[in-house]
Amino acid sequence: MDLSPLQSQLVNLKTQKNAVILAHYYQRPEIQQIADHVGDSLELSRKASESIAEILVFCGVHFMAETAKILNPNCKVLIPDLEAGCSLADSCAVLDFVQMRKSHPDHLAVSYINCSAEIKAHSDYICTSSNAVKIINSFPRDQKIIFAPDRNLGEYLIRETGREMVLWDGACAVHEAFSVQKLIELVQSYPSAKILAHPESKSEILKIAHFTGSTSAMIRYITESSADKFLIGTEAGILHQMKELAPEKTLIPIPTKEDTTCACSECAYMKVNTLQKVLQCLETESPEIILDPLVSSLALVPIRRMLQLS
Amino acid sequence: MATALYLAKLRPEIQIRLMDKSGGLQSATRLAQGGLAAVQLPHDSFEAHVKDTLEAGHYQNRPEAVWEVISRAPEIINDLSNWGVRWDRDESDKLHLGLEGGHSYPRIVHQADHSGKTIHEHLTFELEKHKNINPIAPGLVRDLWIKDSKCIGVIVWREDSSQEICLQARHVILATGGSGAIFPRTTNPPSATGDGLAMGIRAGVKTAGLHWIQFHPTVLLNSGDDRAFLLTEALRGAGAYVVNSSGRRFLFDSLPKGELAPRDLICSAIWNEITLNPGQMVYLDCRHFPKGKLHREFPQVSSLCSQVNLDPEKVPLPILPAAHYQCGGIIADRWGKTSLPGLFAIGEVAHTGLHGSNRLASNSLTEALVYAKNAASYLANQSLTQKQEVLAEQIKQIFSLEIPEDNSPSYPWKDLLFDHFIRKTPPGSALLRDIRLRLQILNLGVNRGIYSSKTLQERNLLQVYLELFNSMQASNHHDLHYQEN
Ligand SMILES: Cc1cc2nc3c(=O)[nH]c(=O)nc-3n(C[C@H](O)[C@H](O)[C@H](O)COP(=O)(O)OP(=O)(O)OC[C@H]3O[C@@H](n4cnc5c(N)ncnc54)[C@H](O)[C@@H]3O)c2cc1C
Ligand code: SF4
Repeated sequence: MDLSPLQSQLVNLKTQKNAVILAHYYQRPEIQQIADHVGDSLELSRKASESIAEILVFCGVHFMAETAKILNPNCKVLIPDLEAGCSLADSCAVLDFVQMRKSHPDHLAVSYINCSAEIKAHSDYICTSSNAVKIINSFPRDQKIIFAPDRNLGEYLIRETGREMVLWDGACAVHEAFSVQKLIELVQSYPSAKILAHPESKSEILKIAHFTGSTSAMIRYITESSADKFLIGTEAGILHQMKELAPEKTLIPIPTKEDTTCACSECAYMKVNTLQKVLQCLETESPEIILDPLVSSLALVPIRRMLQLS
Repeated sequence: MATALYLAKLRPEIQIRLMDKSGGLQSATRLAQGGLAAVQLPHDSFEAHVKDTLEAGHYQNRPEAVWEVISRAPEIINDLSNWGVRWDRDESDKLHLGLEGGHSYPRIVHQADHSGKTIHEHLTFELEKHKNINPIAPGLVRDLWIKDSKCIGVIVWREDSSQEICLQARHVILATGGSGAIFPRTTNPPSATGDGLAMGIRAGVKTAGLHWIQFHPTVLLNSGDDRAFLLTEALRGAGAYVVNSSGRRFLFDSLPKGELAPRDLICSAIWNEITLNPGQMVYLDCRHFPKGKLHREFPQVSSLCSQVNLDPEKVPLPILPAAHYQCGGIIADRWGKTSLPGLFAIGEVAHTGLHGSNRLASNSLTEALVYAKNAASYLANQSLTQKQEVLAEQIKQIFSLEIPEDNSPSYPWKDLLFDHFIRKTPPGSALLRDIRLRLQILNLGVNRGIYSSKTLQERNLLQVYLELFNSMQASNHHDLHYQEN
């Protein structure tokens, strides 16, 4: 593998300082090339906890680097750019979260790993999109649950596990923008179609819908309408039912089931890290992730539980 | 300690356990310089002492408490003498009496300027003579053990073994001292983190006058050190002047009694002098004392000054006010009983009503001893009727949180707090939010069994701070110190 001068410089410095570079899948390729480990946030957390290096450079977003620090508190954890935040993590303010927990005292709090160290400290379990279902299913069936901060993932989990959950109303801005993008593409490919939506559909669908109503109201609309193509925002099962009632019309689903993984590949925050910044941060050993020892120890508890279960 | 001694004398068969996080070495008692106010001379009277106390306390005092303590102060001096404390005496073997600010007669019984240390040493020595008093155990009481709305014991943290121990007891006596450590500048020892008060607040015990924090007017300005060096009020009693940068005794501008006015009024006068005239400094001037007097009568002050290379015979001593005494606290009745059955409060942690909103100098040690004696006699009668039951002791292993030295929590809110108290400006909502968040994390640590002495004390400091703030909000500023203008 040919390394650019900048990359060679980094590799040398890394060896010299006994540092390890961890990079998320969605980092720029030139960063991934010189990283010791590349993976998703769970894999990288594992690597971080096992590492015996003195310095860890975490090329990802802030909450991931924090997680690495929590798992390996004696290690110096550096992040190339402190601006690499996460809109989902930011959507969950600690004070409100604590308030929510207080008003649901008998609920366990399960938080998606995309959240701040403080939220982790106040949670009972942490999960990633790959192990969330497994973790939730490990609880007794009547266990009440709070899920934070991603509402979309929460809704998906309710459907998957059949549990009732109180959801934190958080969302990833990138993700939302991404699903609007998909919707626009769909509408553009069927310009003459009428758009129908169930009142509980996502707001971006409701905004452009020609008609909003209950399932039976939608069926009536379809049979009475002169149009023959319809874009319908509802669940697949119901769509199937509609097709049987209006066999002569073309019904096209608007996907409501979200990709449950975060759309981090599209995330601008992920892209703020550059080789130059990685080099600079290793040279100056800053910015460093500093966590309060108490917060860090508290946050470790739910992360450990996750690692044990997955 | 005093409660234990009094009780052991009355009921030698009752088992008494003492718990101290600092082994007693960091108690305010050991630091007391002035002495104990107790009416002695024929021309002095209880009435005069009562009047001085009420005046200093802005008539917010509870008269019964004032009478109780003042009329029994001489008896307490006697008890201490019996425990072996020797007082300074004049040539004719009469008690040497010091004069302090706010007192209309000399009535401070003392041993040089280290009365507190002497008393503490003698009490500690006495304790060892009693078989039914267990030696003071090192342990930080983290919370009261509450069951069915009764205090049935304490939960103790032993950092050396990382153990949390629940100790059952028929009666629990809080004597945890004050909460000066919440202020950036205080005369209190570092142990004064308001633990007892915070525990009480968490258990819903009734409190009063929490915002009545007394500031000491003459604390030696020594930059860099957290704990302020106190220049005893007896210095002003002995004739020291309070002057500004140009050497003028400005106290007389607003206070006819000058240096002998009550300390809260002196504090606000000093504070005004400094804040209204930027760059102005305030000094305690002893240069006019006869040569050798300081060294002879105030050995502690004199050695303290030489430690920081100041010669009080040659230069005036730079001073500033600092947090000194918590006049309010957990409400305790004549017997030291609090609103929570099974729980007693004695000493600075208690609010008996003696001090009102501002303590008269040298009234607090006597107060602590009077109520210790009362509580002991109450307890001696009480437990007669109770059957002996086996007391529980449970031990739980805790994850001891190691906080590296260089990573110890900083208290950015401390500086602000001083200002809130002095200027009466409420803290910004951002600061309050941060404090609440921090407190939540600290509580979570306790619930999950992840903590250390450091985080437990920080938790208490913040708890007390919020309560102090609430109390300050609730009061109509009638009795606050440092009122501007
Ligand atoms: C510098 C200075 C000078 C003073 N001069 C005078 C004076 O001349 N005359 C006068 O009358 N008063 C004076 N006072 C006030 C007086 O000393 C105090 O009010 C009094 O000593 C308080 O006694 P206490 O027993 O309540 O508390 P302290 O003597 O402070 O004892 C409290 C003890 O409780 C322990 N403790 C606290 N929390 C815990 C916990 N959670 N678990 C276990 N142990 C705990 C501490 O380690 C400490 O040993 C002075 C105070 C100071 C600071
Ligand atoms: S895409 Fe992922 S990293 Fe980016 S803001 Fe959303 S959740 Fe956070």
